[in-house]
Amino acid sequence: MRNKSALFSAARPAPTGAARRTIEHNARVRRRLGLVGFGGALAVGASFTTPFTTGAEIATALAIGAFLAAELVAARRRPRAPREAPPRWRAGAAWGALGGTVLAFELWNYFAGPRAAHPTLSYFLSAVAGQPWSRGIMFAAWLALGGWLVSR
Amino acid sequence: MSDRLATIVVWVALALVALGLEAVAVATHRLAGIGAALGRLARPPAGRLVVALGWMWLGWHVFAR
Repeated sequence: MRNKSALFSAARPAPTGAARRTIEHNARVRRRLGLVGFGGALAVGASFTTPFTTGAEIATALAIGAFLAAELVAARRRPRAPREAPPRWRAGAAWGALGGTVLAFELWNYFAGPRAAHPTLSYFLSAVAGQPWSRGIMFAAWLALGGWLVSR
Repeated sequence: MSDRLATIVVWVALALVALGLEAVAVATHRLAGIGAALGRLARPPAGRLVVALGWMWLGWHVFAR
């Protein structure tokens, strides 16, 4: 006896060409909308939390877990990039130098103390994230950065 | 000038340098923008790991701790 799926596939041939592309496109859109909805809900939830609480840890851990899961899935789908010629050093050297300077200045301020006299980047970020609305926006921006990283 | 004010001035100067670099990248294409530079850093597996760990640390540091 033929099973149900065999009968179904016999009655409706697998879509090809434009129909198949449309189905795949719609699936991608649904997946992205789902991720955006999840991220938005998480950002709203995180906006009502405060650091050093279980709620804040759960919201952040959920985001990191989702990032790791998405990265694992994306890594399997990502085609292995062909070996390319090394980029010109100056193209990214300016950002490297700036990043190194920021890191050095951050560490210097961190160890110089007190924090009020030597504010670090965290000091400013914590001040900005003090309000629920700004905290929610920052959380959403952090999630968007993670999404961008996964998509590359 | 107090230590606090001097520190804030340096932070603002660094932010202006970042904005200037991005502006030069967009206007002339002779430099990589911040997105392109990060993307290039994240291309090899080791660089990707560094960027991913940095992203996770940033979120945990700012939002959880």
